[in-house]
Amino acid sequence: MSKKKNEKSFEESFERLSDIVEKLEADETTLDDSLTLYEEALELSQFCVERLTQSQARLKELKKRADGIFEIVDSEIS
Amino acid sequence: MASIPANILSVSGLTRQIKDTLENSFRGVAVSGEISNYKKHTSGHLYFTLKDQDAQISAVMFRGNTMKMFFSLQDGMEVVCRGDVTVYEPRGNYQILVKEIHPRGEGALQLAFERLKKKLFEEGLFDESQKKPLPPFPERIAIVTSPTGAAIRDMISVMRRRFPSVEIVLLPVQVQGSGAAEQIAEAVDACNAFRAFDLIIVGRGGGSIEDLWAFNEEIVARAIHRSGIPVVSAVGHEIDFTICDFVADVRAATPSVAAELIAPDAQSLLESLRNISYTCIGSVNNRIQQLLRSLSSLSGHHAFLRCEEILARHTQNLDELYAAADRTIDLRFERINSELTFYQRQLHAFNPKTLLDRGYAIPRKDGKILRSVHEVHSGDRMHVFLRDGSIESQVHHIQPNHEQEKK
Repeated sequence: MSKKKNEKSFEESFERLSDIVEKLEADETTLDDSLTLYEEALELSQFCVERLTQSQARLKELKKRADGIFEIVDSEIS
Repeated sequence: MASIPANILSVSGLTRQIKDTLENSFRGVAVSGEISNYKKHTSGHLYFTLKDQDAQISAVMFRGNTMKMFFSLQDGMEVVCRGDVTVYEPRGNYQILVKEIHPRGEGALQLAFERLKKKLFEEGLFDESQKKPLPPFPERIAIVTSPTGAAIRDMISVMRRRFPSVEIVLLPVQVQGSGAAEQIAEAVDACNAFRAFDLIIVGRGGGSIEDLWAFNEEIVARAIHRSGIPVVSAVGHEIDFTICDFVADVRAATPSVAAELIAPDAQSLLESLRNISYTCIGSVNNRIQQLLRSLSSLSGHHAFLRCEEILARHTQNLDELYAAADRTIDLRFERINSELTFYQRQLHAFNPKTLLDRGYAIPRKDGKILRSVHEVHSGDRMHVFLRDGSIESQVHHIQPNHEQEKK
């Protein structure tokens, strides 16, 4: 729900990875397909590792602006 | 005709005397009774009737006096009120103007709790069927709690440790005293207005039943129940149960437990990723072996020996990888991460496409890899892929191997 546009979520990537492993293991894919899958798996696992190790440095706060719109801002609390 | 007393009072005059008498005699009285006909006016003033078995008295509590109240009133609640008796002349009514109100004894709050719990249960607010599942990998979570309590610090430290990439958004609220319940409910509604949260944690650290009371208020229960975003309740200690716990999608015993519950363990996920990488290496390696086995049918072909060499090197690298992996099992998070990056570089090296770098070519027709000369016919167009590009070519002559052997 909170993912930004055009950005795959960690959850989707992880699911896709498991999916690929299942396909590769099933031994039914052609060499072409397994190469393609393999390359996709590399990319996905790279993405997942990055997501797992990057950290959100700051605590955020939800603020209501004067016009009634909510926005997320850096918190004063560290 | 009856004689008319000399000192006739006007209604106003009589009322004024009653008012003086009553108001002077009943100043600063404490009275206990049960609340009924409770109404909260939009102005913030509270109106109710205080009664016992045989009598009742109207009561009003002005907004200014409600500031120190930690709980909201409900019909049937036993309370002790302190205040002044006043007379309202236009109506000839008397009432008690409440300055202070307390639950009557420890049992009063417990009773109020049980009564609200029963009511909300009967309305279906606690139905298991309505509970929303928690997302396995929350990316942005909202925390409704005090900005200064231990709870927020505990939750942040647990989440940073387990799942550092999660974005934590605090909605600072008062968690006890007058107005706390309203602030908590508003914050839950605000999260839903903003929408882009995977999860909401509502909670605070431990305290007395009075301190935790805001989490037993109906207004909080309703806000949690109408939330479209899953809510985890994390109030007090293990032994404290609040209405908030019953209506939330998941109850965590403490704020720290809530953080453990919702944040997946990045370290074990990294290990899973490592296993996935192994499986991929294994599968692709199998592919290579299959390919080489089929190549080996071209026995005597000069490529065969070189292929075996490549395979042997691959297998050796794999063994090293697995050994390295075993050594890292106990290593720390950062280390696992850097090794993963290393494996990924290795994975690239195993990519059978590197075969192309070694001078082999992949012939494709209509995008499919050709495995047999029987897959093409003279005159067919095909592509031959080399390391740095492809050659579009046309088949002139086909020579199967067995014919070659016969010669």
